[in-house]
Amino acid sequence: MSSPTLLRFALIGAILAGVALVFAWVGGFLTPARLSGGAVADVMQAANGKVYPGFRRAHAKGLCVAGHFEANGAATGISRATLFPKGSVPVIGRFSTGGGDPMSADGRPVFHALGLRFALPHGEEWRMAIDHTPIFIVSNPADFIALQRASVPDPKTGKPDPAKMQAFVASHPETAAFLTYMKTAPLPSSFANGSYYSINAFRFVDVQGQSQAVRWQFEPETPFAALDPATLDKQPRDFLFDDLLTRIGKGPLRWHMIVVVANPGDRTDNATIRWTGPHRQIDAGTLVLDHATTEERGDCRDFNYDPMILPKGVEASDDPLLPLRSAAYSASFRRRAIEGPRPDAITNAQMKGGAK
Amino acid sequence: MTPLRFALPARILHWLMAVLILAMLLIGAGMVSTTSSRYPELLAWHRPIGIAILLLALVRLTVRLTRRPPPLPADLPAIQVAAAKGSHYLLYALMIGMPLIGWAMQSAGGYPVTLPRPDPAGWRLRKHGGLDVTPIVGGYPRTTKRNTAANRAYEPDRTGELTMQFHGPGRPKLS
Repeated sequence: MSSPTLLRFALIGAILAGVALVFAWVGGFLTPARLSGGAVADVMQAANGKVYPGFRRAHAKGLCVAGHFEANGAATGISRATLFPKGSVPVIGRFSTGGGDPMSADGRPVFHALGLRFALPHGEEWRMAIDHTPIFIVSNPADFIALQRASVPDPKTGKPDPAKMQAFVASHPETAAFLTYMKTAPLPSSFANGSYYSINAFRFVDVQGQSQAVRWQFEPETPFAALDPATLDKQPRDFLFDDLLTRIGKGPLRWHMIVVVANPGDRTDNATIRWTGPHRQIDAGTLVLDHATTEERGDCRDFNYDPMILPKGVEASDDPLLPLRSAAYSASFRRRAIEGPRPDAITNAQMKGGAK
Repeated sequence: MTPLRFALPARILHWLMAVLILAMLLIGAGMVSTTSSRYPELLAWHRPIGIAILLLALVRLTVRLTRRPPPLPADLPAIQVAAAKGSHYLLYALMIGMPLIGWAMQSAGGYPVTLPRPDPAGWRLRKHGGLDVTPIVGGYPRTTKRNTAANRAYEPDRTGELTMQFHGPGRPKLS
């Protein structure tokens, strides 16, 4: 080959190598420490002990609900979101327990959560994934991964290594505080009588474009009753979900959306820290849930309750858990969409009940 | 008469789309690699650029069919002619197919996607009750019954901006 031809080939090779290098850099191959949504889904699968195909990688066991939100207009002053003007919008949702096993007993794990999807005017949506604890167990993506790794079951015993967990908790006081909260705070005896918290801080933007930090919680009209931890193991496998089906069968369940406006100095970037002391609170309206059915028959399973799907007038805060949740939920959603849905524990139980 | 060079609209579209497609590949690779605040930022770019590529690809296809390109060099070996033509077809198939796959993914998840105004194209689409590609792309394997309450909320926008109805085929109404 003549030298000008060689030079041309070299130039073509250099351009291709340059493009490959840019791709490797952008795609994170040069920075192995970078955390992808897929890596989060991987570690959750490992912590679950196995993959449950077709199910969410967390909060796998759930029940569909539907109803509406009756806004009273009180929050229109702090956010221009179309959820807040006086009126009603349709809502679908999904109650779930924590953990990745769709066949697990409701007694353990006892973490309650609610996914909500508000179908707003003009095609907008507001999705929430809210939990029954006001705080989260870790404050950032790296800690979340480390915690999940510490809870991966040992292949020999089938259980997480307690020493690893102790080491993590010892170096993370905020995780210790969360575990103490879980142990000491009374657990609601039903999905219906618990409060559900936004976990992360968000920002509300008003019509003038003024923005302020908020959190919110849904407080039940159903009077609180505590679950007796001593009886947990004796309860039927689906007792929480069965209870919800029975209650909604008797009449609508209601929660008030209480918006909590941040005081100066409140942290918005750390979901492990509660906002303490008096805060301005706004009762924005009532969530009314009047239908409940299994995931198989309901309309909630094939949605991803990504807390960053927000309408105009609501924005994410600087909490690093928000993009983590968004990316991880998306990875989990892609996986289960490819695997295809399957009937969960409650669907199976209901079908068996129907055949009797 | 055989043209000596590509028509001006074809050249403009070529370079504009080259930039967009390369950017899209990099945005996509970066998006799935991170859980940082870059993730929502990149996602926010990924969707509108994808739709822009789809629309531009359709314009480009029209230009390609109506304005004849210059012929390939007469002395080109047959195998290179086949490669040139084959890659040409593949390029058009991917420019149209890839955004539709992305759209189908949005549709399957029921994600709301809105186009910002000003959007003259939206006025026409709105009159026809919104644009719903679900029948075209087939959607995802979800049940085909309708959730009337949820779908009512997807009424096309009459006051503000175009809302593309990226929702899936819907699910049965809760009983």
